[in-house]
Amino acid sequence: MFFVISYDVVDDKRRKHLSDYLESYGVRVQYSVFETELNQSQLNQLIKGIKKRIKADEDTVRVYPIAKDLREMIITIGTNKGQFYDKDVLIV
Amino acid sequence: MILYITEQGVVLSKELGKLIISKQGDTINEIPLKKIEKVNLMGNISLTPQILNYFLENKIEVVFMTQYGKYRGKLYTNEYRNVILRLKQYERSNDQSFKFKMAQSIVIGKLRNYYDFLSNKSKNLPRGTISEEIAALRKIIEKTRGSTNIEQIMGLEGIGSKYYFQGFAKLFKSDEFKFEKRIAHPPKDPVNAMLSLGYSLLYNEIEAAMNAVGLDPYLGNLHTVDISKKSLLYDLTEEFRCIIVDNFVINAINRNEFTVNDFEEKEEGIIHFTKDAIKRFIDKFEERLNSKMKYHLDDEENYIRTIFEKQSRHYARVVLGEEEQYTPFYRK
Repeated sequence: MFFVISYDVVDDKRRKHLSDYLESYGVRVQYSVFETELNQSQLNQLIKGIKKRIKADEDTVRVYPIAKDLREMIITIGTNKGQFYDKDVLIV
Repeated sequence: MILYITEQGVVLSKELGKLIISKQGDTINEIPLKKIEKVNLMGNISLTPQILNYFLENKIEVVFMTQYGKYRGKLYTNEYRNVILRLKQYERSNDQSFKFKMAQSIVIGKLRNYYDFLSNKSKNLPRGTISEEIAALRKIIEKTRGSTNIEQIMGLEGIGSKYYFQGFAKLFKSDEFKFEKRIAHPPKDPVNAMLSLGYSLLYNEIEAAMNAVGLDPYLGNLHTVDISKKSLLYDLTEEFRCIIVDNFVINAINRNEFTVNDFEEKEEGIIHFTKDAIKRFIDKFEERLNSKMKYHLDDEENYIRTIFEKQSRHYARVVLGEEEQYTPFYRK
């Protein structure tokens, strides 16, 4: 499933930690927005990892699932940084 | 995601949460680290200490192969070892009657798959094209059933394989591909080059399955125990060669997915894939591994990788004495 993750983190250091972590899962499409394709176990792992990196009473992270057929309908105005890593095999 | 690097001179490095693939300073590709499940490196590829540490820490399997797919080694992290199973394996390696029974099952299984394969293919051929080979295989299977020692079994396996490849050579629709006999190292024609790469990729998969179960790949039955020879790995690959690789190769050629232009002569007489063709071969082979087949022991549809693992578990149960008889994989 495809997910959009957006966050509001108050503390600079914490924000940096979280965004570095999210880099390992997906693509930063905007300053505090990531996109990523995840299976169920990766999603569970990601949520656990996010919980460890934020302060629950100050910060917010939202994870939006997006259906496959809707993904094609995402509209980008301006620069598009989106890239989908949904293949099982990559041969370089 | 399974990653194959075939491009020569590439450097893999780590930057924040990403694997960066670059060549001569230019980034070719970048992948979020958590997406990577397995890495296959083919040929001349460098790893920075940071990415190497990441792979080790996160137990990502990294396989090193030559540019043409021949296995060289592996980055071992904490390989799973089932100690009780291994002790039993060592014990069994001195048990001549166990080894004999196992070798016999393995070879009958392999020859039976050869027989089924050729019989199946012969339906689409003019009558009698490969009937000699099929009949010979049937006879050799019978002889193997009545065999009394491992040397005899290995001899029969050799004769059976000869007949099989003689039949296999007659399955090609086009005259472009000439296949006379199986020559493993080095390949002297495109078909042998395809078989060699296919078997090599198959070995990697079976070894991964054996590791997941905790079997020691060095303690086999049919292939003699030798220093640095993974005899059990070869044993357990036998039954899959024809079903997974040979069938794949013959179909790819008969569907014109590969032509002779996809191969080039590198050194004298040695034939290799072109750069583009090796990528296509791996891509199609991976697609094959990601398809499903029925597992013969429980009739369930499984991904082929799962079948490799189920079969390793089955072997382990026989070693532990939980099951009486080893039954090699066959297509129902």
